[in-house]
Amino acid sequence: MTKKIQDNMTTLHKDISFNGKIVGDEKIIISGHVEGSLQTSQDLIIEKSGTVKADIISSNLILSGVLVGNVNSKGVVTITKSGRMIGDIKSENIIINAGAQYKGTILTKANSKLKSPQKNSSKKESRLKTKR
Amino acid sequence: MPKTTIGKSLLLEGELKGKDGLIIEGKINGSVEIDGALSVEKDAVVKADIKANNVKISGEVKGNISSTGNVHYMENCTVTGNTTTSRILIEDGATIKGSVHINIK
Repeated sequence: MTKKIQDNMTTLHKDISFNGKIVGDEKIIISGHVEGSLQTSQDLIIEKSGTVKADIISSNLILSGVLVGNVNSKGVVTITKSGRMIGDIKSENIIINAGAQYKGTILTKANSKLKSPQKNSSKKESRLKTKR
Repeated sequence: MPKTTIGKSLLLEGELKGKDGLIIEGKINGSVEIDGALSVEKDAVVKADIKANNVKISGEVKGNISSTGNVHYMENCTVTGNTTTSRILIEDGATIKGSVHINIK
């Protein structure tokens, strides 16, 4: 397959639901329901009617629908005024518009240099183990 | 009306369900259940059981196909699996391995 990635686009419409793993190299627009994991090297757009329960790895992310899951983005994460999200965001640039609902931890590049939450969690786990 | 499209570079592993029309250009492993028209394009690879209304295959399918409408096997398509439908059209050059059941209502 040749790399004419720009022309390609995947859209999941309102009445479509998918359960599983999505991997790709193109722009993905979701208006339907996705559960599982989602990975693309391009942009991801979750429309107003879109509901996603998945961990996401993508370039830019624009969220206008509902997302439950962690995001790892190489670009800009935008939660629009109709967007609702529960989960952690790891990205260099984050925009949360007024009206958006969000619950979770945000990790920008500056933060991640200071401390890594993965180490903390592993410490907690080791403590728990020693107690047992 | 715009249809749901699974693009060329995409790989889906899991269960896909829906009411809308669906165009597959990429790869799917799992199952596909669509209450609408399904089109498997030329370079697509689908390893899944398919349930749909009208089905048009130009690519590769490994799995059973069950249709409530027409099944159209285009030229150069490859289908490995059983087909259940009420109407079928197989073009010259289509490769098919599997049984075909045509239910006359």
